[in-house]
Amino acid sequence: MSRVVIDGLGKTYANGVEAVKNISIDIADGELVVVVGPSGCGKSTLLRMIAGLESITSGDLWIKDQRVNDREPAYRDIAMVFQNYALYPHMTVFDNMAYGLKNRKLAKAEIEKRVKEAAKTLELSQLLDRKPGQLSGGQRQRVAMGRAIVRKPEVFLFDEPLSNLDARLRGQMRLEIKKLQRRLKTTAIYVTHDQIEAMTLADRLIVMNNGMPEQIGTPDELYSNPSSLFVAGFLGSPSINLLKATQLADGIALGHSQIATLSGKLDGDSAILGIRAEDLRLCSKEDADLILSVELVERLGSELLAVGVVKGSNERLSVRLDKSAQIDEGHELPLEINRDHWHWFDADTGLRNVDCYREAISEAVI
Amino acid sequence: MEDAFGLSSEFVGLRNFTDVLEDPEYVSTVLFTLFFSALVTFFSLSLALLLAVQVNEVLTGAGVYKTFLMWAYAIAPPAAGLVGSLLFSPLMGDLYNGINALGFDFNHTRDGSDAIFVVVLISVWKQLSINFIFFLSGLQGIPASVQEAARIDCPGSIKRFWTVTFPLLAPTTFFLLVINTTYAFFETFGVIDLTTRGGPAGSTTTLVYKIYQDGFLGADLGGSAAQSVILMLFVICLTIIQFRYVDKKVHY
Amino acid sequence: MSKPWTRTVIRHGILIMGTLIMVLPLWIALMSSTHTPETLFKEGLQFFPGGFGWETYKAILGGNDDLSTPAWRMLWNSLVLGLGFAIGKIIISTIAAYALVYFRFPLATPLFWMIFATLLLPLEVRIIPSYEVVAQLELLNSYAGLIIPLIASATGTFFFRQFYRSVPGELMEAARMDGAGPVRFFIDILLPLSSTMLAAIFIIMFVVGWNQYLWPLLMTTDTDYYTVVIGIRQMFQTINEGGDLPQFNIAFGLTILATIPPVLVVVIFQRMFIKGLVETEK
Repeated sequence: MSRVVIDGLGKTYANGVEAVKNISIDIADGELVVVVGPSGCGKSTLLRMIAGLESITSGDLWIKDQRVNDREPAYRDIAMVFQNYALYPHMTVFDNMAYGLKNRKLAKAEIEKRVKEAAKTLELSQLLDRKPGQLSGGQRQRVAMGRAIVRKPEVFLFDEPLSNLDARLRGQMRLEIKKLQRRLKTTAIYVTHDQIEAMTLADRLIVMNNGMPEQIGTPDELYSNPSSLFVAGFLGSPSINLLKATQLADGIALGHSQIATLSGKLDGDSAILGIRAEDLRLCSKEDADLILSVELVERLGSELLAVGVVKGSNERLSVRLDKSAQIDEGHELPLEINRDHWHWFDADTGLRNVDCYREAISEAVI
Repeated sequence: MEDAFGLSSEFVGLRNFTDVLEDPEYVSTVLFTLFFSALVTFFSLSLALLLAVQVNEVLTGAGVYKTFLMWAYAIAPPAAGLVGSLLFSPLMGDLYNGINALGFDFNHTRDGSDAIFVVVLISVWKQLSINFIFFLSGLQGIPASVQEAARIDCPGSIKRFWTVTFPLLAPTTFFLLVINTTYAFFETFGVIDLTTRGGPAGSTTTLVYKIYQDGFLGADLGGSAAQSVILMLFVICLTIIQFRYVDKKVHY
Repeated sequence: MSKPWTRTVIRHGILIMGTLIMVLPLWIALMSSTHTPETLFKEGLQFFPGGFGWETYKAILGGNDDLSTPAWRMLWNSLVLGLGFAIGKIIISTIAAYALVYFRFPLATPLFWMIFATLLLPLEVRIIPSYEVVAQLELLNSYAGLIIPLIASATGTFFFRQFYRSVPGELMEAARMDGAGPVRFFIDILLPLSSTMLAAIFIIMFVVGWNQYLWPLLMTTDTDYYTVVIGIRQMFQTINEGGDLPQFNIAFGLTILATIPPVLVVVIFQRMFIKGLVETEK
């Protein structure tokens, strides 16, 4: 039904700046797609192009099998929740939600019915006569959502809708948005710079960088098989540990000052190895790939995060450990790399390349 | 240049300008205008600041004082001029006789400096209100925490005013300097026209008043237009200074 | 350091002096207007009410030898000028500011600024060309000729431009999403948002319009179009020409009548007026 097809969409400004380059994705009906990336990566521009607030300079946009490139925002059958909510300060909550419907010349009774319904869903029924100035941040957020819901659009567009809320409320609203979207089964496109928000909400993710999609896929796919150093570095907290690998005569040196040595062979002179914090494991001194001097321990309750430098170097790594681990600042931890979940990247292109590394045959036999 | 009936006019290049600038009467008008604006600006600003500071400090009656000190904003300059000229008029006597009884030989319709005194006085009176409003809101805009910090750091209230409060009022003061100058140049027309009519002997003629006299009473449209252009250049300079200075220097 | 109470006394002393200076001239004018011209001529200024007030104001409003136009007519003209100026100014400046802030014409921007630079100049410096234009359009001695050239100035536009620029762009985008076109957005969102500012500017502009002097002086030769401020000038001329007994009471009374409406407006809407004045002029 409300399938959204983005076909080679691009935006070049009059001054020649290319904000968005050649993005294509086929969004299924009812799917929630999150666009994530650092600020300035073009994600907001992409959303605004879909909304019709920015013109499309190349490619095609199809909503519900209709090409909508040249349609005014109001006629694209979309609704948008803005970063700062963009509530009309002089109108009551009711009027804020009803304004769009009034402009579409809906019958009064129908408007009232829809607004009341949305207010009930969002627990705003008691607040319909208030003005935005009298509401808390979370309530304003709900009104902004309500304004989108009452229109019964084919597509919801969210532009960093939670970035103005405090951490607690953000977590709570994130859940509610997801629940609501599931219930209404409306296709949604959600823009954020927060990778946790992106990972938890998305059916599928688009990671953007410099106006281009770096990778498109489910959160799991992107986390476990990042297609580039950028994606690997962007998703996950703490950030993935990256080490330079150099081919030596008798093995592979890790790090700039050879903090560890691996057996095996690189395809070429060098590569980059990415290891997530949870893929470094405590082990006995004999099996250790490297020894970490702990500088800082963050106890997060459910788990424990240790940050330190590899002994004898200034290569900094972070390790995720069980909450029961008895470690403290100043301890030295023997660590082993989980070779099943490591990520090899080409040193020049930064792209994922599993063929970078080949285990030595003798080791493979053992 | 136009003939007496405005029937023909010839192109005279810059002659209107050179004529104007070489005219000693014009030069003395320029000097008077500058002198007059300086006096009006200085006195109306300092008196308004004095009053605004007092209103800001008193606990009782501030609202009443405020209303009575600001209402003159609404009075038309000519109305102020008429009342003022009647107050000082030899015809009405009271003030006139009072001042002369003190030993001054006062008559603002005959003596140039007396006329200047009256025009300045009425102009200051009329402008006091708007300056007062701006200074008061400027004072009220200074955060209480800053005032409190200053009370701890500096015990003397007068020194505190000049070292903390007054510098913080700088944007207001600068803005008021500009609008008071504009006021003295332009809006005092009504005051002058109803007290001295630029006289006696041109001693209270401002640039705008001269444009009016030459252009509309004297029918020298060319010369008057040239004066307008000169005045316009002055206003443009003033506006540029205002935008430059206000935007850059006096911001915190 | 002086004691707190002496300081308070000094403060109140200064303020009472200031208040007296601001109030006394008008008080004297009001009181003097209730005396006969003979009393005023013989005894000078009056500080207390006399018994001639009714006659004075009846003469002013109804017509008098010294006044070419009855004051009610002049008050009406002033009202038309004040309201016309305020309404016209608000209409022009809100629309112009809207165009400036929300519409992009790359080539027109410098043009806009040129127009606005000229309009920034006070009427006084462009009074001769303005007069010529109005004279040639045969608008001398008409309300249109009186009001329109005064409205043509950019000052109000700048107030509103400043305000519109502070309105978040998202609001306009949200309105576009809600199906509001440029006109709807202006009427439904922008104008209601600026309502307090509109009111404040209306008050200021009314006072400014009512008090206009130089332009009406040049424009109105037909006494039917005299405003009350011009009436004051005429009164002044009559008194200075000498002749019979100068009608001081009429002069004072007319001043009072010219002063009451704008003063009332300013005092009644004091809060709004101050807010408008301070916020817009900066």
